[in-house]
Amino acid sequence: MPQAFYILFGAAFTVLVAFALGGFLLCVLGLRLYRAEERLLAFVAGSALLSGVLFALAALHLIQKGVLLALGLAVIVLAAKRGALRPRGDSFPPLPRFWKYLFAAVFAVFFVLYFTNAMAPERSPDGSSYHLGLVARYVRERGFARITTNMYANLSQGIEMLFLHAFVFGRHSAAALVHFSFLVALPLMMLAYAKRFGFPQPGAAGALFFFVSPVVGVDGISAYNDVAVAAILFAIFYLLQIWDRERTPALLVLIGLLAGFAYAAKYTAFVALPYALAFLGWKLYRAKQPVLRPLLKVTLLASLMIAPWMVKNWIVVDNPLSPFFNRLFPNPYVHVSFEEEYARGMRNYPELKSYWEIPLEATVRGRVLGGLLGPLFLLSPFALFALRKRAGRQLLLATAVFGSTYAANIGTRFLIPPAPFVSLAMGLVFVRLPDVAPTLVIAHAVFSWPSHILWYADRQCWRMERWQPKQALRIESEESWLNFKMPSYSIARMIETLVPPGGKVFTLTQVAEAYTSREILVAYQAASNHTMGDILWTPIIRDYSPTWHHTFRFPPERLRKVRVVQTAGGGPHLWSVSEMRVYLGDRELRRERHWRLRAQPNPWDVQLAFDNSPVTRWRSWERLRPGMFLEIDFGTADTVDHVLLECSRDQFNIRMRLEGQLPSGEWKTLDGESEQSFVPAPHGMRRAATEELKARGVNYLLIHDFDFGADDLRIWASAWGIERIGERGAGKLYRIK
Amino acid sequence: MMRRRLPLSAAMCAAAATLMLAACKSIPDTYAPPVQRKPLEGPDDTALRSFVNMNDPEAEAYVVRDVSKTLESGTWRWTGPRPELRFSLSATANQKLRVDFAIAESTFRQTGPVTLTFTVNGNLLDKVRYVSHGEKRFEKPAPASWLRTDVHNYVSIEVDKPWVAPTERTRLGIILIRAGFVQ
Repeated sequence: MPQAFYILFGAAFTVLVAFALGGFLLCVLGLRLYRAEERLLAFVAGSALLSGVLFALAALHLIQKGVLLALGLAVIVLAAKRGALRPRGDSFPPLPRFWKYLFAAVFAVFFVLYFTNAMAPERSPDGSSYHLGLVARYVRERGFARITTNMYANLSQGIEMLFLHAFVFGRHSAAALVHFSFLVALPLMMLAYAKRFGFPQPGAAGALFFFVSPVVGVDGISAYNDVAVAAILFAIFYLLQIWDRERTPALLVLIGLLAGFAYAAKYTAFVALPYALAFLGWKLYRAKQPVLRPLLKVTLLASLMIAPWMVKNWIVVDNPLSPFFNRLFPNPYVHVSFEEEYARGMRNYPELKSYWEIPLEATVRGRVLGGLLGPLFLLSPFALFALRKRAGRQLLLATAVFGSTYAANIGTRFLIPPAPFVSLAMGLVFVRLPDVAPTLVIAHAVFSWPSHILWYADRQCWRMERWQPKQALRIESEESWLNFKMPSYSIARMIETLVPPGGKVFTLTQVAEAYTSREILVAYQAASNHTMGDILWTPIIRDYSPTWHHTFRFPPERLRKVRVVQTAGGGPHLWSVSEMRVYLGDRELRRERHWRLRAQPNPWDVQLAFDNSPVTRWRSWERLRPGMFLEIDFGTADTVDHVLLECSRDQFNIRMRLEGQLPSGEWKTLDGESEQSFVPAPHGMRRAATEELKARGVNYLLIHDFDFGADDLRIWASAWGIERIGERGAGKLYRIK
Repeated sequence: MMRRRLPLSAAMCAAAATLMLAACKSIPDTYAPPVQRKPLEGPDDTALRSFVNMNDPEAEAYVVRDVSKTLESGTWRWTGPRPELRFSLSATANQKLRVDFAIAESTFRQTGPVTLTFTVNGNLLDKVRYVSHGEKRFEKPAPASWLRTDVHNYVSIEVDKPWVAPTERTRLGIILIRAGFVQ
């Protein structure tokens, strides 16, 4: 059977099962909707249910083709028997002829463009790395694996659960086609909303403004989740508007379910729940109706979709909101300092000189923020004129609410969730001006066509290149196309070939994990990986070596515990200690098994300061602050007269005090200030570093030519104890001997 | 009415309690000392030597500038007009600078005879004019007072007439095969 068949089957079966589940729910709730609404809302609501079902199956390790096939067929049969697959509602009146043809023509052309791209081999940066990399792992392990080495596994993955369903049958492109189905459903939903509320032409214009936008297209054809999130948020908005008009209590079930699904799809969509609650609360309060019970109902239903992800994180990584809020939920899996850096990085893209550049970058240039909405959206301020209408006010309120999380990540694709609302508001304004809206639709379509984008955008902007029928149908093989277009694919395949099953590869740069079954540990993606990166860099970066010695001297004293306390604070540095040694005269006290070591913060790594290795160190992984400490409990009182701390020099503003606990239990300061000296770095640290990695189960290193330290590893391979076993493009694969 | 409200409220309380419990996860307090790593011993395995062949695996570590990263024919590398290398010495007495290199016929046709200036730690050691292409060896004692054992010693070669590619900015000096100090 040709590969294209499996891809189409995987995607179509997933969409059909979601549609059947949603249709069944609508039937059970007895909702009366228009025909178009029924189909679209059934798909979105059914997606939420299917995502929840997949979560349960993954938790039970039941992700198998047979199980999914049987369950899916059962759902479809059940829904068909219940009549859930048959249209029940009335049809909307058709669009005026001109708009009907305009909408159909533009929609059809871009549909074909998007469809061939979505079906072509998946090669989006995040899709081929973690979105589908994790999905592929769940398929291999038939469900959730306990992953503590990839923070992306801690994000909510509601849409990835749908990808998982499709991936089992049709692999990568089937998953991308599932996202594509949201890309198609959303503008149709926008049109249906506009028809229901009496402004079909602005609705058609707004739907096309959104649908043909370059970033919406390229995101929607990839195994990402932004367009799906936008569809979920729009469905919530739509349902709230219907509820406001009809006050049907059953709608609250859908609203609650989807508000929870929004969180399950993407953390930043958490605003859906407070938005829905505030909307309902305000309307009920104004109507002098009971407020609490409907809000509790919505909250409870939402929590059914939210809680599984929190509980999973709680169980696996000790933090229900991982990879964020690590200060509130301390855990050994994500460093506080990383979270701060990551959040800062998402708010400040390196090449963006000023926030004032965002409008032009996000609409016209497209490189720095990763994609562009299209020049049309430079006109988005005109949407404010829609405030004159009730629908306009509702749309702009939703724009503000769903756009409020944009500050957390200023990439263009994070503007996709509010984009449908602002598009419709623009439609409302421009349709009032004779011929302006159709002109804008046509111009926007022309300027958004892949080959035309380079008329004005940066060459390196994230975009589709052209339509790809040969690649979609696999007339050109997936292998050939990906090798040609995606350097990280050939690296992933090299890993698959040269690393034995079960082998772990440590790397500094993300690779196309979705195309290899070997475990890839990316330096920045988890605390343990970060520590390995630190170990690897210690022999290369002079200031990371333990060459700065601090000695605390005091008269011989019998002590039960000694504790070195940080007294400095502020500044960007982290505190670290490579080794903490205790002496009486010239004799170092042997580190006995009954000693007890303690550190605050980052207690989990305290042993790194007591392992006698110059390439490992305990680090605070939080900015320097007074009160941080390292402590040894000798178990019994021992006589000591000095303590040596071997430190690195990348923390010049540290200040420390040594405290000791007397046998009586009383604490006293032994030395307020250390003697400092500098010693040469020990020899042989390169080999020691790779030995440490080996001790952590890592036998392979993937180093790109542009990675920090790549030259050193290449030139001094024998000193590192590594041998190069493969090379593809900029990626070199080393085996640790 | 009250009876129907209670389960919802209870469920909400349970959800809130679950979240709060998540925040109360206990953190292991203390750890025993881990397995001790062996102390690192032996000489520095990344120390530079006094001589390097261009096909040595670590040859790039000797290059300060203007020597290609690409090893040609498994033995030699192109230089630019001002290659510079660095070496470590354990003694300064009786050291001779030796450079094995070649002048390519193809570049010689354009440049004609070339003069190479050899310097050691910034001191002019010699200036030699080569009037033919082919393999050459430069060898000359370096005064002990110019050399150091505690830091690297820098050797640079200046080519007076580099070959310039007609269409590109590429400038080629000599074909470097090996270089360094010998006694």
